[in-house]
Amino acid sequence: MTDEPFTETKPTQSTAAEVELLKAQGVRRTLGKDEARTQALRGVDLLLKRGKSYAITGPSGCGKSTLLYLLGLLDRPDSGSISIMGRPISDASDTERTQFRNQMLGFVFQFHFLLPEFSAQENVMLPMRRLGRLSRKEMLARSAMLMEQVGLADKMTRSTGHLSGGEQQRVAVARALANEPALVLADEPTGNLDERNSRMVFELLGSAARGTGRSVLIVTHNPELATRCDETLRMRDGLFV
Amino acid sequence: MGLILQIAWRFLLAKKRAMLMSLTGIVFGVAFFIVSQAQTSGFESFFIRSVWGTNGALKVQDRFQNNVASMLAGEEQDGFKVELKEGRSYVEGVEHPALIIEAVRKFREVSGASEVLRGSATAKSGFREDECEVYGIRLSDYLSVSNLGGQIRYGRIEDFDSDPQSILVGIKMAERLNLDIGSTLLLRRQNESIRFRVKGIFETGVEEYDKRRVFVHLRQARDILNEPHKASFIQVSLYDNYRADKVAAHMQEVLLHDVRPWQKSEKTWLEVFSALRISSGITMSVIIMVAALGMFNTLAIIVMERRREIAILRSMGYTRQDVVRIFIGQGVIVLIAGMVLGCALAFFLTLGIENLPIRIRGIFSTDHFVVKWSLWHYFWACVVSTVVVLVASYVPARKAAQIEPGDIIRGAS
Repeated sequence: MTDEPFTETKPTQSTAAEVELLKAQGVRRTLGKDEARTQALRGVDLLLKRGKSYAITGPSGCGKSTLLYLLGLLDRPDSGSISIMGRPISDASDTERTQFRNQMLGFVFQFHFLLPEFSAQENVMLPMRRLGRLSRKEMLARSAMLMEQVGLADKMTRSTGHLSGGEQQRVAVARALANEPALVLADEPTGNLDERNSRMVFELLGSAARGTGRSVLIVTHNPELATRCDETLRMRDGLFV
Repeated sequence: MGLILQIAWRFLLAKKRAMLMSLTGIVFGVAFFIVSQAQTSGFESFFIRSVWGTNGALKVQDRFQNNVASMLAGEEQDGFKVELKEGRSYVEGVEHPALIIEAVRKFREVSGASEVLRGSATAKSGFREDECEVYGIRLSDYLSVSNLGGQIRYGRIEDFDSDPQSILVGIKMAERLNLDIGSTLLLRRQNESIRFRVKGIFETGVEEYDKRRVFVHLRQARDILNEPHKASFIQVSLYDNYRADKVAAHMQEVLLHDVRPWQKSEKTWLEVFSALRISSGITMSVIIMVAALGMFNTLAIIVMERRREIAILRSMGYTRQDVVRIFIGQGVIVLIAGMVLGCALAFFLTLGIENLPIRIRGIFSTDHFVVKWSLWHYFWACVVSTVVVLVASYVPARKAAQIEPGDIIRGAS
C-alpha cells in the first residue's frame, strides 16, 4: 500500500448518479439559548444524487456543520423536511433515525473520534457488529479489506492510541464505510491533518463515491479539496449562495 | 462476549482503580451481609435447639374449661340477653396424665411425650442448702422429648436410670452446693425428705435451669412432692418442631388443656434474635448501598468523560437502549464479580468464625461462635446487592442515553 492508494479521477456521469439520494427542503435550525440564540440555517434546500461527491464550503459559523448533522440525523430541524431515498426521515422516531444512521450513513469527523479501548480493526467492526448482517468471519474479512484499502493492513491490531493522526483519520474513514452506507458525511475531515494526510484522506473519500453509487458530502474550509468534488456548494449566513 | 458487554468491559477497564474500589465495597458488603446473617441465625438456631433440648417443642399443661360467654333469657326475639364476661377457668396440672399422653400420641406430628411432675423443694448438701426445682421424670420418655442425655457433663445417664435413688443436678447448683458424682443430696419439702445420690451433672446453658433444676425418678418425685397421680405437664416433641404453634392450637382444642408451644414460651428471646438479624441485615445492606453509591459516582464520571464516545456510538447506529445496556452492563460486571468474590469471602470467613472461641452461658451454652450455613443468606445478599447496584447503574445509564449526539459532536468540533 502506498501513501496514495487511489488515483484521483473526475467522476463519470452515470444513470445511477442521477438518482435522488437525499432531499432537504426549507430546513431551519436555531442554535443557542436566550441572547446567544442564532439562526444557523434559514430555510436550506438541497438535493444530493447517488454516486456523486459534494463539498460544502463557507466561512466559519455559516451553518455548514449544522446542516451536516441535520442531514446525518444527529440533530432535528426546527422546520423543513429531510428525506433519504424518498423516505421522509426528519420527523421519524429516534429508533428509526438510529437504524437509518447504522444502515445508510457513514460519518467522518474532524477529530477521528475512535474508541481508544479498541484496536483499529475493532473500531472498524463496531458499526458492522451493531448491524449484525454479517457473520463474525465475514466482518473480520471486510474490516481487514477496508483497513487494507486505507493502507493500514499492517496496523489492524494496534490500539488507536498508537496510530498517528492521519492513520487514525484513515481508520475513521474505514469505519464510515463499514456498512456500505449510501451516503458518507464528513465534517472537516482534513481540518486537523497535514497536507499529505489531508490529500490521502480526501482521496479515500473521493474513491468511496466513485463507481459505487455512494455519495459523499464533505464540509471543508479547504477550497482546493472542494474543487475536486463533483459539486461545490457555498454557504453564507445559513443559506446556499 | 456480546458486543454491548464487550464495550462495557472496555469502558470499565479504563476506570480500573475507581471500579476496583466499588468492587471491593460490594465484595465486603456481600460477605459481611452473609457472615452477619450466618452468625445471628446461627445463634438463633442454636438457642432454638437448646430450647427444644431442654423444654421440648410444646407443653400440655393446665386443664381449662370455657366459661359461658352469654346466655339468653326468654325468647331470642325478645332480645333479652344476659352478657357474662368471656373467659376460662383453669385447673392446675394434668389430672390424668396417662390418658392425655395417649391422646397426645394420637397426633401424627408427635414424636414423643413425657409426663413431668414439677415442684419446689430444698436441696441440702453437706456444704450448704438451696432452693431447687424438682423434675420427676420417666427417663426413657423424657429422653425422647429432650436432649438431657447430651447435656450431661459429668457422670452417666445410664447410672441415673438404673438407680431409683439417683439424682441429676444442674452444673451451677453442683458448684454452689459443692456436689460431685457420688455426693449425696437431701431433698426436703414440708415433712418429706429423701436422700439421693448424684449420678450426673448436666448443663443446659440456661443459667436459671442449671442453677435450680434437678431430675429425679417420677416415683420419688411423687413421694417428695406428695402428688400421687397428677402431672405438672406433658412435655412433647414433634417430628417438625417448627410446626409446634399450629399443632399446639389443634391440641388445645382437642384436649381442653392449655398447650404452650416453644414459639410462645420463648417469644421474647425469639423477638430479640429476629430484631438482631434484621438490624444486622439492614446495617450490611447499608454497606452495600455505600459501595453502590461509589459505583454510581464512578459511572456518573464515566458518563461525563465518555460523552464523546457515546455520541460516536450513537452516530454509528447504537440506540439509546444500547447505551443504557452498556452502562448497566458495567454495573452488572462489577456486580457479578462482587457477588462471586463476596460469596467466596463469606464462605471462608464463616468457616473461620465458626472456630473462633467464645464462651457463652445464660440462654444457651457454647464455647465457640455458632453459625448457620444457609444458601438463603447467599441468595438474599445477592438479591440486595443486585437491586442496589442495578438502581445505582440505571441512573447514570439513563443520563448517558439522553445524550444527543449532535450536541456533543458539534461541541467537540
